[in-house]
Amino acid sequence: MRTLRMTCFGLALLLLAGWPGVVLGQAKLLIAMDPKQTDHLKAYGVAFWVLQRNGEVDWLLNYRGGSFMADYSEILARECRIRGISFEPLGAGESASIYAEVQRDDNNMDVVRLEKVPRIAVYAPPNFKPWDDAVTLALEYAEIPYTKIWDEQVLSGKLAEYDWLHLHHEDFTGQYGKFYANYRFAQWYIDQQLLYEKEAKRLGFKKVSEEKKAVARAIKEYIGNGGFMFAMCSATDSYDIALAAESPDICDVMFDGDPADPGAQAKLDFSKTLAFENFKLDMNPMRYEYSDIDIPASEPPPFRDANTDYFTLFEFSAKYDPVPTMLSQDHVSIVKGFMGQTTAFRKGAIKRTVIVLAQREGTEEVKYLHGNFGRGTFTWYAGHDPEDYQHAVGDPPTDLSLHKNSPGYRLILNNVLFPAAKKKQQKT
Amino acid sequence: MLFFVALGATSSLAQQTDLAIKLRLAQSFEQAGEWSRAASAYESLLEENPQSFVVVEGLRRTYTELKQYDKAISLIREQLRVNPADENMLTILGGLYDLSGNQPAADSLWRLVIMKDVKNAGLYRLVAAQLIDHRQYERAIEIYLQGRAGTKNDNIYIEELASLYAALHQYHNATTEFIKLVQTNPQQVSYVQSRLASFTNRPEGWQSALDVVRDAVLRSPENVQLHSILAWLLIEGKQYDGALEQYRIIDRVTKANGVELYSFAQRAAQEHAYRTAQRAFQEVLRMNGAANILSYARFGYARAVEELSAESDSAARQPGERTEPAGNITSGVAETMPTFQGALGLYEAILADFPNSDIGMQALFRIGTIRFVRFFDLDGAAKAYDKVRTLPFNPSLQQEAILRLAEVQTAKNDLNRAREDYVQLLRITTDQNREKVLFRLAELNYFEAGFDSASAVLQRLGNTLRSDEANDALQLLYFIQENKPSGDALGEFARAELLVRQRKYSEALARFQALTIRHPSVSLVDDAVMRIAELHLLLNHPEDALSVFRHIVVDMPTSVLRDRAQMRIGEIFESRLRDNAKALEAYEKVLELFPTSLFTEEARKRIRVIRGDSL
Repeated sequence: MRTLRMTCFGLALLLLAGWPGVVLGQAKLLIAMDPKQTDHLKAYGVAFWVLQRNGEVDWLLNYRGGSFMADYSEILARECRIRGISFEPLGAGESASIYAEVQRDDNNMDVVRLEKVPRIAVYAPPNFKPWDDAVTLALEYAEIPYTKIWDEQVLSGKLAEYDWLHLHHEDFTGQYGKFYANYRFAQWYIDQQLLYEKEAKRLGFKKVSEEKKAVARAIKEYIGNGGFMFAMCSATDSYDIALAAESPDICDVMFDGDPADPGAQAKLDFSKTLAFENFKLDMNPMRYEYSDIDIPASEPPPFRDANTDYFTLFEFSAKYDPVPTMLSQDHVSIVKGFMGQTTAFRKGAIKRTVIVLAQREGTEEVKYLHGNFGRGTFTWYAGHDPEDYQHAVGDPPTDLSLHKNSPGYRLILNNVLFPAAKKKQQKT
Repeated sequence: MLFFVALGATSSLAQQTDLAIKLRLAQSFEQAGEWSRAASAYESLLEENPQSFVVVEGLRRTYTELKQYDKAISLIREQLRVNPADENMLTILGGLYDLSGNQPAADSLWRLVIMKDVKNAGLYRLVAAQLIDHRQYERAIEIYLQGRAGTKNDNIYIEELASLYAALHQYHNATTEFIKLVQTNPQQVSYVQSRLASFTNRPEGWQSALDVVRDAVLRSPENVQLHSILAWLLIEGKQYDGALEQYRIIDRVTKANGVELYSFAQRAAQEHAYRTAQRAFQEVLRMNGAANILSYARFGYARAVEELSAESDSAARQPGERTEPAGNITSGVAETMPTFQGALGLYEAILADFPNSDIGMQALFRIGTIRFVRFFDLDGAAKAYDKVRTLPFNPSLQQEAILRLAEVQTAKNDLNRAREDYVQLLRITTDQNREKVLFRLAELNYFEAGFDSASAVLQRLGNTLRSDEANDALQLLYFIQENKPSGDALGEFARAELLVRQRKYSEALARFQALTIRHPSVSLVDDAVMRIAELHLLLNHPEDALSVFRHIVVDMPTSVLRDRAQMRIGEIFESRLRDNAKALEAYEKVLELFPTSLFTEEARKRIRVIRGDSL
């Protein structure tokens, strides 16, 4: 199913018609993002690098895989060479012809000007390592700077200082990733539980689950005020579960020292969630699963053939739906699948207001979704690591220099540049 | 009458069977997490068996899971009516109060339990177990500490407290408890080390443990177990000198006559702490320790001296300086350090004292190696290796000596004797060594322009993918195949390479230069020019080397080695001439001129390192 949907989000991107920034006579540097690109992931980093130096970058949506165009300079060309990014120097005539092609009404393309350096925060515990998480791996590889924040900063309102927030593989339900059955005797698990308990106490909460729920609410408030939130894997469903389970205790005794509320399911409030509704909790502490949002369920581990597991990116109207178009820019439309604690989202559990960006064809498995809340947006991507089909605890980190052209990782980096797009002043 | 007795027995049996079935049903509901149904089943059972502990406990668990704490409390109170002094039930009741959020009631009840007999260590354990179940570790610690005070026994709950402290990352307290364990039971040293190891891998854990153990050692200076733990901690922290100090004490207190010091020295040497190892071996020798270790201590001391000489030899080179040119040119160790001479003297003394022994044989092998690798004294090395091959004490060392001897013969330009040695080795060596020997034989054939015979052997080795020699074999094979059409030029090239192997760098340089003049149009010229540049470097003429590499890049447009030459220019500027600006320029040229080269990744990396980018 191909969905074309007008986004109701208040981000109105300027069309290039009469675009004042396009100066005739200026030589340009085109970073084509089609399959010929030598390093797609670092290309996002160099676009960010230009913005950091008060430059501007035009994102040519749907043009050769979502290419970037900037003013030519020797310094930029040199930086591209050093980072291993292929580029094409263009004369004024050539670039004008590309802009004209992109703007033509009968082409599903458009130009988005990137001009603001997004301030990026990654929500992660202090013991976190960059290789624990695909987003930070991508940011590190693309050389995009970010700041780590955790519960104290979120609860004290520091989120307002950032444009984009990524949720690390957090479990907002307070069940420590539901790793209890397999890892309760592992030192890292014991340390993690202790660290979280200490932090919760320090911040005045009796239980970790209560603290995480408060953090989830604070993040929701941040989005409502215009923030951009990106989450992957189990940070997605566990986040919505925490919002829905504001009143009942869904944590068993090994997680918070007392049993769960047996009537918790009936007490879920789906009006409080962002993306999911009518899901059923899995409250068995010995099962590595939160709810039936995840499909296929993580327990028992699904048998899948990596060679036949692909998902399809939907096509949107670049001129009328620029936001979903930006988020799904890629040099391929069919992307290799990958598993995670949350491998995909069951379509039946997704709210109707949410835009599906990618889905496994012919199944109920939604891989990538986007939605609005208040003045902000959230984008969720299921699975753990786009280049490690079945990542397990303790596996070595993915070396992205071996996956420079990863279509799956590109989807993550689309999100990072998304807040850099020029937008109209918001009405307050 | 008999009938009624039988009927009664049958009825009682039926009742018991019925009870067992109902209990299993309740338990299966509980296991399935169907708490409401489990509660009903247990309630029904309780009516029939109000005093059954299994039923009461099952119902208590179920009510707890349902968070029906009031019901659970009533249930336990009911039980207490029958036996009001039951400490176990009272403790459980306290636990239920605690779960229901009534901490004061819980504390008060637990206090009551403990006050019944403050000297009863078990009562504190009961209460602490409740708190541990509720993940209230700090409160559990308080109870144990109260227990120590109440029982006036400072040596109970050691393991419990140590584990709780460790779980709470209170490493200082945890170590204090573990040390107490060693002091009360000296046999527990290994166990305590294994428990400490769970947190000494963290810097703060290691430091806390070290502080505590040091204090303990100061208080009990003659306690060998404490010194042993302290030494272990110091080794974990790579503080070998400190560990040596502890082993001196251990050796003295246990009257080990050097054995403890010797085993520590060996450990230090294995961990490449040669300076400390040298000192430890020396001390064993000075104290004239146990006879059975003395010769080994002398050999260990000599090895440490040799390794330290090698370290200072490498340190004397410019950091990053290449000692090996790319390609087949073997490294030359241009200079030696006087301490190698010292090591040589030590080995010779061992040999003189233990001529017909394993240790003498090992010393002789080391003499050969220092003479060959460090001094390039070919006659001296040959003499030593030749002697080793005749000694029977260590067969693998014997084979290694023959291999080295053949290398020495090659360096002496006696290729026939080298070949004889290799052939002899082939008869006695293991599979793994065979491939190495075959490769060396193929090399000899190559040096002597026996390209067909060399190729045949190399082909065979290249097919053995598990072999360490496979890559080298394939490389040489392809080189021969590619340049065979060059005729005489390949023979001249091989002979020049032999000169390099023999460290006759100036002669080799002249040969390569002559080759480029005599055969200007053969494809081999590119490689010859590369060799010329590398030989200039070996002869410490970096400017000449740069000039030749530049010539390759600029004047040899069809050469496939241009990217490599440009890369070498960058490396020479960076490592040899310490001119980062020029190095940067050279590496950027690699990216600009050769964007598809295999060297671009490395060039990018070098640029970013020089720029100081945080990667």
